[in-house]
Amino acid sequence: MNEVHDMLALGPVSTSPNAQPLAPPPSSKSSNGKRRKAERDLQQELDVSSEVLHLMGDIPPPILVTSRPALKPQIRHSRVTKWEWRPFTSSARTDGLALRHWANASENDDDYRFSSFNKQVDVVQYTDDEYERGLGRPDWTREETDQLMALCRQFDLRYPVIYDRWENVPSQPVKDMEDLKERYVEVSRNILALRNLLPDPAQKAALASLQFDKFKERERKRHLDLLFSRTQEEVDEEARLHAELLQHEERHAKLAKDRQEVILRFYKGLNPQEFANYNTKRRMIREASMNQAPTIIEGVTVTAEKLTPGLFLRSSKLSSVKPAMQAKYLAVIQELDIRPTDRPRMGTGAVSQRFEELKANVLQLLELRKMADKIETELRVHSHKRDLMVAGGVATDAKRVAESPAVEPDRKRVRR
Amino acid sequence: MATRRKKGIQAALPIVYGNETSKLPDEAPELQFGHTHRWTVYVRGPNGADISHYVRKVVFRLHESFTNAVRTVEAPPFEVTETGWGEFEIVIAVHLHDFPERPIKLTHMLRLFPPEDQTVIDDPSRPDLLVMERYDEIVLNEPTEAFYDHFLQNISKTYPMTGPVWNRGAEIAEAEMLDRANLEVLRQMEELRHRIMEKDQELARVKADLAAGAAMQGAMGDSAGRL
Repeated sequence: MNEVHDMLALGPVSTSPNAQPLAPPPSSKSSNGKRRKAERDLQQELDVSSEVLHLMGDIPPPILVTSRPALKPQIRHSRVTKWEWRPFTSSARTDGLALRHWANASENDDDYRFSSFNKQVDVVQYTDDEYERGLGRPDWTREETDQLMALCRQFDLRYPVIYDRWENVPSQPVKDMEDLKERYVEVSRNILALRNLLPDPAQKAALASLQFDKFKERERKRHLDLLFSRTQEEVDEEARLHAELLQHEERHAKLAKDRQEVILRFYKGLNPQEFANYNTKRRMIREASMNQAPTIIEGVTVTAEKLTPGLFLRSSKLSSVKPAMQAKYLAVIQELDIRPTDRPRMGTGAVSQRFEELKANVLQLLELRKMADKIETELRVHSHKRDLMVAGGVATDAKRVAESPAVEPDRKRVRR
Repeated sequence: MATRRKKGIQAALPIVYGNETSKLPDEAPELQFGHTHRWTVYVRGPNGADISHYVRKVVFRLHESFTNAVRTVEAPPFEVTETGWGEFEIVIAVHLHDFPERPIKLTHMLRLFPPEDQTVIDDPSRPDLLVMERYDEIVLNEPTEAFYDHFLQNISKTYPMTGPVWNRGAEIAEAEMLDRANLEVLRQMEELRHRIMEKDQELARVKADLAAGAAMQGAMGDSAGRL
């Protein structure tokens, strides 16, 4: 700061209330030596030059927190260990295959590390006797049931796969996925019931979960398919109908509420005293409104509409025309023998109202002109197309001559 | 605030504002400063009507080159007269008696020379002056009872509007002109609507022809008709 001052050869620094001291202000408490040491410490800590420090002032910059990436934990071995090429077995395998892998010599020869992940689903096993007793069904043979249970065990109850691997026995009715599911659930449930183990809460819960409604499942899947195969139009239609339905319900509710209110009022208002006065009151109100001679006071407008109380300049409430339309609007105004201005000459209430009306009408007229132009060009294009087609087809030349000139005169009228 | 408001009533207070200018005569001492014109910027009632019964003060904000550029006038006539050579925009704030916090803001471009784009007011009662004046109205929606009574009491000061420039006749003439223009526009709109309908029908016919023709050619396998 001082160097800048020297460079620009400015006078002594002026103290204003807003000026922030760029250098640390001299404090009466600490001595000069202490301050310089603090500065030097800060300088060291931040590793900046003294000029930068002077620019910053007393305040160290805010600390930015940068996240350091979590590095892989480095395994540091203090000593070299011996590794050996060792055969191993896994309890997850049933065939006793002994593969070999590198293992640390000091490692113990336990079961393979990943064998605990070999989970299997508890598919029930039944004896012949049990089958005879309670699992029979006319449309399922013993072989089919056995096949099903084997597949379920093999594929962990993954029905799409099971269904895919399913071989239909020719003499029996064809089974689809719901049938397979149903049969499995049925078998499990009947076995549990047959064996009649002590019903504890866990078992009871398991029993309860063994429900499968084939028809409901079929319907559900059919619904989902229908839902999936809707076209965009159908989706839109449904959304629209839904919205309409909501509106209807709302209206219905409102109507019901109003009806209730009317009924309540009706019963409440059955005051005989009020009845007696009713007709006279009406007559009086009617007379009062008729007797009000409509006196027209100049400068005062009486409206039935709602007015927001306020004070304003009349010309400030004129609506504005978009700059794009401004030129066209003024052109039309001039056509009508009116001076092209944005406000009326004598802007009284009556005049301003007519002015606004005219503005709105002219803008609408411009819109209509645009629309007419569009339709006429479209008509011309299509007529031309049709004429070409006709000319290349069966029609005679006479027809073409008759059609095309009909389009020309319009063109002259449209160009304003 | 228990003051009742007059519902559905809209009261209009007409004002005119602008400037009158005259060239400085040859002997005028101000000419030595380079000034060329004497002008007066004002806010008045139409045809000189008195507006002080509802206007409390008017503040004119002139160009900075004038000393005390902000001129406050608290008694009629609400105007400022100066000499100068330049045209600039003057911001005017009109303060009413009853609404101290809400002045009406006006802007007026001071004119010393007749402008091309605006019409100069031709007032036979001010023959030697260049008059650039605008008519406007301060409108009050749903005034308080007190204000309305006050307004009615003083209404004869403004209405009926008679005078060389701003008068009932001028208002009626402008209204009639606008009415005529409106009718003409509505008539043209009707015409256009008819035309659009006709063209629309014709277009539908042509499109039908095209479709029929295309179908026929498609059936016959005619390549000549392909457009």
